Amino acid sequence: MDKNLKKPSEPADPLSEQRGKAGDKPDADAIGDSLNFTRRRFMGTVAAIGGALGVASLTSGVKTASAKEFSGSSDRYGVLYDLTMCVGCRSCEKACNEENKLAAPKVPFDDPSVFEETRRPMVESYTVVNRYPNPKDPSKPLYRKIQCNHCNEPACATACPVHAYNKTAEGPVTYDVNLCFGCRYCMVACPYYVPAYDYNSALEPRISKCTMCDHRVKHGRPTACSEICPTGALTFGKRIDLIKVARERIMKNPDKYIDHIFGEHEAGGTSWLYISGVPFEHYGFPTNIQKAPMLENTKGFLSTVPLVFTIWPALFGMLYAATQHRSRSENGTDHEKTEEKK
Amino acid sequence: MACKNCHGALDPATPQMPGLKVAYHRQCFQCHWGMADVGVNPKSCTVMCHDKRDQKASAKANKVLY
Repeated sequence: MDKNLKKPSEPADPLSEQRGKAGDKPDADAIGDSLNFTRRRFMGTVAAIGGALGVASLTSGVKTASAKEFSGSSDRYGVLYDLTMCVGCRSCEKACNEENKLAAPKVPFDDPSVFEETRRPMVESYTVVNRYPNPKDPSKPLYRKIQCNHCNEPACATACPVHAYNKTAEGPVTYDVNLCFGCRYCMVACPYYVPAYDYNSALEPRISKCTMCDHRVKHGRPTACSEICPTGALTFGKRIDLIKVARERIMKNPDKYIDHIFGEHEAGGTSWLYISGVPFEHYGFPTNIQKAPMLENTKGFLSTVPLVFTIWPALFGMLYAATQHRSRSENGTDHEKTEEKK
Repeated sequence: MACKNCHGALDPATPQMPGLKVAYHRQCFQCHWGMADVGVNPKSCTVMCHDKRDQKASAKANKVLY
């Protein structure tokens, strides 16, 4: 048998040894002082650890947030929409309907009565064309095609808790119906109010929005709408080239265009770019959109959430345990003091 | 020099160069925008320039017959 091993009768804890020497009843004051000292030291240690972890979490949170910044692939595609060239033929609507195999429209594509009301993209139509009065020439009304703008840093993808949205390297923001569980956070998050919910299908939740013909674009083919557009109001190409084309048109025709490319910077930039002859608010564009991606509003806060969920429970759990231990000790001491007085 | 010598099929690599179809239409719209509701009514395309499908079909049939 090893001589270094302690004998079974030998007390392992010095405090228990002290208690043993003092008899069956421990010295209450001595224990109280010992516990107070331990509690202070414990509290100090907890506060120090908590503070250090808090600082570390904030620092790492900032680093994480900055590391995940995404300005998009430089080679991604886009569509330049020259609103001055649109004649409201609705060929784009028809091409989109056929390409995505959507249901037949309630109003035929060549029926101008559809312009009597302002429409928005819905389940049965990923894109719609609306008509607006022309302040420059009332005989030539203005038209605007509405669809998903395919943001560089899409707010819908950020808000989606199940990662049903994905920003592809080619430019389109895709949506996976198999992952969607119908929370509709994307509808709230989108600054352009584009995603539409299929309220007719409650058990199988489905959001509908423009796909930017992802199946075509990933092979370098233009979107169906831009391919069919007879007047060239829609121009498909690399986004970086389209910005140059837009700037050139504005520079060569300063009287025709206003000096603004909508979508170049709005909400961090979009794959769809617009140039116009009248202010964009005339077409109903939301012109109060911030330049920074919508993600910037929540990124700093959200990056600390996982840390809060891991560190705070541990920290507050330790504090709770310490206070419970102290109250138990104090109750026990008071009880013993009462016993002694009796 | 023919238009198609420069304006071919739509090429995403050269977005500044319109395709042949777009180049033709832009030429038309320079003058005809507003005439017979061109650019105002989607049906107007078939009024001034383009035949409807059934008209095209009948025209082809007549061509075959005569």
